[in-house]
Amino acid sequence: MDRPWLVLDNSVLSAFANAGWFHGPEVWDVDYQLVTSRRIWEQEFLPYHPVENTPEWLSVHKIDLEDARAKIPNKLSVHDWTGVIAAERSERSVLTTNDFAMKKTAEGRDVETLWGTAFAIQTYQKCGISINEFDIGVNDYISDVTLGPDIAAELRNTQKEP
Amino acid sequence: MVGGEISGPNGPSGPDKRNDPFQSFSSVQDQFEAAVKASFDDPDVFLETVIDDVLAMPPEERFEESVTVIEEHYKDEFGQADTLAALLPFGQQWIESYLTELFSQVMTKVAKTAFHTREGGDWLIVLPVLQACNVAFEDVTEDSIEHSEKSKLFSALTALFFRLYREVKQEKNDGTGDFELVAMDLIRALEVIVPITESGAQVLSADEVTASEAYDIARQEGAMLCYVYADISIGRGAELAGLSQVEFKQLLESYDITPRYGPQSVSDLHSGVDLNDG
Repeated sequence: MDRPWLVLDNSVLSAFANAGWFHGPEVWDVDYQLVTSRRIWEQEFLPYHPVENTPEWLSVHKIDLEDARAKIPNKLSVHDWTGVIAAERSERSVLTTNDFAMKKTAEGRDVETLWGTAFAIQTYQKCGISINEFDIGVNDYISDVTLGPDIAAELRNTQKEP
Repeated sequence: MVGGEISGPNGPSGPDKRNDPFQSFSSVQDQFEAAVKASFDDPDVFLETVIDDVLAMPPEERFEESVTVIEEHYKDEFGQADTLAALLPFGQQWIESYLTELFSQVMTKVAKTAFHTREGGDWLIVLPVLQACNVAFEDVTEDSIEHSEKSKLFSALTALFFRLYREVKQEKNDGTGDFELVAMDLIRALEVIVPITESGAQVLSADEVTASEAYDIARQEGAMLCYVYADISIGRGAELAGLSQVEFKQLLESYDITPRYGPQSVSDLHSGVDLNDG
């Protein structure tokens, strides 16, 4: 059976890269196909985080905005819409983002979502990020995502599962 | 509401007004004209004459002294300025409440143009202009502001509003509205307004920018105000401003606007999918 897609938008890719956790999502590669859209990857992420090669754990897909409803911007950009439409690929696919408007729009279209910070916590607990890497990068992550004090504290206090 | 309910530019009952980016501001113009029609013999002629004379003033006078031109017209029409107050069917407090409410409604409506108009464009310029007018208007009514400064604020406010009024009308009439002019007048108005309303704040000079640069600045400020008033995504705000997401976030932060990233509560943080169940 095809693995469901776990779609990462630029807010998540960028926050992980800024924290030094960019390799972290690879830990989900067995259960999910980690995906982003070509627009997000080439036009938003790479200009600020140039890499020689696309990581093996990440699939970059060209997403066509065929859905007429997506051509009306509503609250999202064209790049955002490629992420939402990618996550509509199958019922079990998930979109992870830090952006309120993007998450709300996706949920309105019955897409499963996950806050980027919850994704960071689950990735850390699954040992995609080491304790040392987490301690070094957590303040940069919090700053990049402008987390409020309660959420920042919850993130900092995350324990690895036994 | 947009979000899957519209299949094209024309709804089932004809052209969709939501595709007219100036529709929301046009309602302001209509109300402005209606509010004065009851008190003037020839309101359209009066209004256009006042606007012509204000806009004909050189910039260095227009944004600080246009109030004198307006007063002269009122005196010519009514004999004295107080006569106008007696003729108008509403008092100052009513005007203040009305304009404050109108401002809030119009800002939200114009910002929501972002929901159905993909491209950022001239319509974005309306937002920072209205914002500047509102800031000036709030201080014009403040008792703590000296009369001479109130006079300058009122001059800047009316000069800017008249410019927007004229160019939006021109745009709707024959598509020839010049919004680079509006953007330059925004910069000039802020040169007068900001030193009075935000003592010590730095302000950009109109001598330092070209009309095209002023337009880009106003467009970016319009995109920021869309982000504030219309709850759009960071990506959408960046798209409207013609910036990358990183640049748009930096712009927001330079104006002390926190990006709307979540979650806002610990329970919401853990409310999503558990990937281990996948």
